[in-house]
Amino acid sequence: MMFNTGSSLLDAVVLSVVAREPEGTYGYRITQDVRNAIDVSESALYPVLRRLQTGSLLETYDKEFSGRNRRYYKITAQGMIELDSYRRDWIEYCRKLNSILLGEDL
Amino acid sequence: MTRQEYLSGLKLLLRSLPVEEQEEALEYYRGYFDDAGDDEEVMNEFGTPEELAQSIVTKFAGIPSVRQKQKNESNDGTCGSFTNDEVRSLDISLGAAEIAMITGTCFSVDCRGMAPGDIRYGLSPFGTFSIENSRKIPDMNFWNHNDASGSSVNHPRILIRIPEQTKIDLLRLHIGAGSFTAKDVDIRSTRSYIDVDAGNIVLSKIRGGAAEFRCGMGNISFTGELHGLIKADCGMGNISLMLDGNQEEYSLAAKVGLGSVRFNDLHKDGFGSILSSGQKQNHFSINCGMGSVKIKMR
Repeated sequence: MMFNTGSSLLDAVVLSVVAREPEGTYGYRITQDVRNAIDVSESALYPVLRRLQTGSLLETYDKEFSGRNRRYYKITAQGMIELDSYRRDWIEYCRKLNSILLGEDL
Repeated sequence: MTRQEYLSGLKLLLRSLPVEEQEEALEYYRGYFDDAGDDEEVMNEFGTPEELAQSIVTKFAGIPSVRQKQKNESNDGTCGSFTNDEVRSLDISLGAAEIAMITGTCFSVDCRGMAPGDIRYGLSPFGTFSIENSRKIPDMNFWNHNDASGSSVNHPRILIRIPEQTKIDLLRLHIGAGSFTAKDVDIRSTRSYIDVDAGNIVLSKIRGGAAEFRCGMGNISFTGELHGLIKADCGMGNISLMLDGNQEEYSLAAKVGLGSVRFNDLHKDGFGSILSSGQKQNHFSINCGMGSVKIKMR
């Protein structure tokens, strides 16, 4: 994509990807899902996940998967509130950009 | 490069992060390799261990403040922070590290530049807060100036916080080859044992009763106030005591080998001399081999 992804947009994308799975999802899959939408290097995602986790927007738990423990990330109530606020901001942002880029009515 | 080699490389490069962060990150990347399956492809994507470590370490610049906040909120001692009431004595025994002690709100320890598990600390049921190396010679790169990451940030560093006006029964400090600095940290301790092998100890604003100093090849510089029996044993190093008090109330007995002993204006150098100024309630007992012991009262 030719547009830059800022860090808050990346946070929002990661939160949405995790929120899609009620049971939670794991690092590798989050990376693949995020990369379907935006072009971000794989190494950029761990710090984001860790930051969201220490900020209590995501929580983790370990579950056994083929003989080892796999770490799952799940969105918290606080994370849902944050995501909701990101979504509102995003709608507003798109509306304004569309009016300029595509000449749509505000 | 195999997955194992890649991960061990990464492990070394993450040592400037707090211990919990190192483990957390390694766990994540181990799991990532497992889930991805194709090691080659993953390593291509992540870049070299140096590049990956760089992206983790720089992104974590803001994390410690979050951890600090959680620590204070819970304050249940599980993170290694204790209050003035709980701690009766301090027992610090460390090999090679750069150690600084500063005033904080509670007793706590922060480590950088060492592998998880190199340092153990905690409070015993009897109120001894102890900090020690978990291994005799830990896997530390203290002497290696050409670290893979090329920066000095990876030296083992330990920051010890103690509350203002700490009052303890016993201060025991043993430093191997590193440096220990506590400048303007108020400690009152009934008894003190200060012991250095080849390192460097700087203590100021310590007040207390009986004290014992032992110095192998290193340096001890002490500023404060001491009463009762004060013993100093100096092999090849230097011991310097700058004490508050009236010289008239202190006496001294010294055995001097090849070294030198100074007690204010009184001084003695070399060959098997003995220096004595009676026996008062506050008494210095000095044993000096080849080093130098300097005591100044003001």
